[in-house]
Amino acid sequence: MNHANLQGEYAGFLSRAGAFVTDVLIISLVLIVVNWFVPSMMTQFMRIDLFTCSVSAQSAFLLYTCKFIRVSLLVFTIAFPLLYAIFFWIFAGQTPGKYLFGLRVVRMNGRRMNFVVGMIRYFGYALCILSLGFGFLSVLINDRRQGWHDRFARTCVIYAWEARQNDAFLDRVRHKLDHIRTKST
Amino acid sequence: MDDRQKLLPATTDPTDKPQNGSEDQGRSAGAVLRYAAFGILYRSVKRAQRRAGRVSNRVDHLSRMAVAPLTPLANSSLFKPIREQVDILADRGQQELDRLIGDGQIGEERSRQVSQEVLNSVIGEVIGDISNNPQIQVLIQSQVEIMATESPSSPQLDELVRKLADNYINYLNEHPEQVQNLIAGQSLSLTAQIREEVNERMVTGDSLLEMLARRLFRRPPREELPGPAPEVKARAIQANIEGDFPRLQAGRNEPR
Repeated sequence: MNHANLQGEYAGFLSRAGAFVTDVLIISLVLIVVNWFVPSMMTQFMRIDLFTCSVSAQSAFLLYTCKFIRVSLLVFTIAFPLLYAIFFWIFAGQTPGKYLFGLRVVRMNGRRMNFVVGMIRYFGYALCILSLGFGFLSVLINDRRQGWHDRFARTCVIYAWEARQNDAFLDRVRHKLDHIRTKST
Repeated sequence: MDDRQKLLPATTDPTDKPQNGSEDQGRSAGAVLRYAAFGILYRSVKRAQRRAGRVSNRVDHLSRMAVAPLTPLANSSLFKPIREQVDILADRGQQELDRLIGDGQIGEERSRQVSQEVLNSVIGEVIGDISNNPQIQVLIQSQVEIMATESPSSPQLDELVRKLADNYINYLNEHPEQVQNLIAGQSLSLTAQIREEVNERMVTGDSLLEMLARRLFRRPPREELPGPAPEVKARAIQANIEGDFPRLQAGRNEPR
């Protein structure tokens, strides 16, 4: 039994976790493909081993090219997740993962997202990961369902679609929990 | 089989069969009398028909014999005025007959329409009454249940279904683009349905997890907390709203 429309309300932990995992999968897929494709092509066509930069024919040009591509690949691997997240937050308010789960990142003051806020939020993610996920678990108990990264960037995540929850099911669980609590006391 | 024999079963009453005792004998005697009476009647009718046929043949023969010598006389100019009058009368009679036939056809058509209208209204009322009748509903329900519980397969029905299915398959083979559109539409709607279903379950899961966590940490339930500000909610439908790009808008509004 579904009830009120929750569009525009703060989004919960499970949806956000689903969106996050989807984004991680997309990013990983892109990075794996690029990091496999570029070295393979270089070995195939230029006879260069990108990891050791050992060139079969002694050529300074090829050596520097190899080093440049290696650094570029490293930079791309580091920058791609950052650019992916910030680009989608600014221009769509949602990454593909968040789009799939009907979520949108919004600033608490109602203004539009910008690069600086995106950067803070992104590095907030890093902090959450470094805290072994405690920063993400904050979503469960925060009144605005904010993780640490949201609090740093002063953002929140809301339902972008007409979200409806099964109120009848939740009421049943609530009654059961109340019953358990009264029994234990 | 003789016509008289055909009549017998129709006129035979089961109570006329010979049974035990004198009463049964009396009954069978009555039946015999009745059969005899029917036999006499039937035979006399036949005889009368035969005689009537013979009389009719003789009358025809006689009339032909009488008319043949008179034909040249009747065709002569002496009888011309009478013949003309007869022809005029015949024409008039034919016209009258045609008119009657026409009226009859129109009347028949009208009466058919009227009877059709009456029939339709009656059928409508009857069907309305039947469909609203609770007893009929119960009857239909019970019949449907019986049909559902029993094996519904019958060779005729199977054949019919097979023919219909073949027709549909042939049609779909001849119009593949319609099938493609249908499948595309179905898969799209199915995808959207699955997505909505997953999202709804996610939202319920969100609330459930939060409820458990907030109870564990003795925090007030979500229902008691205020929702997002209106300016935040406004971004739910669109990420970028009017006023996000004031310079761009100003550039657009400036007169060239």
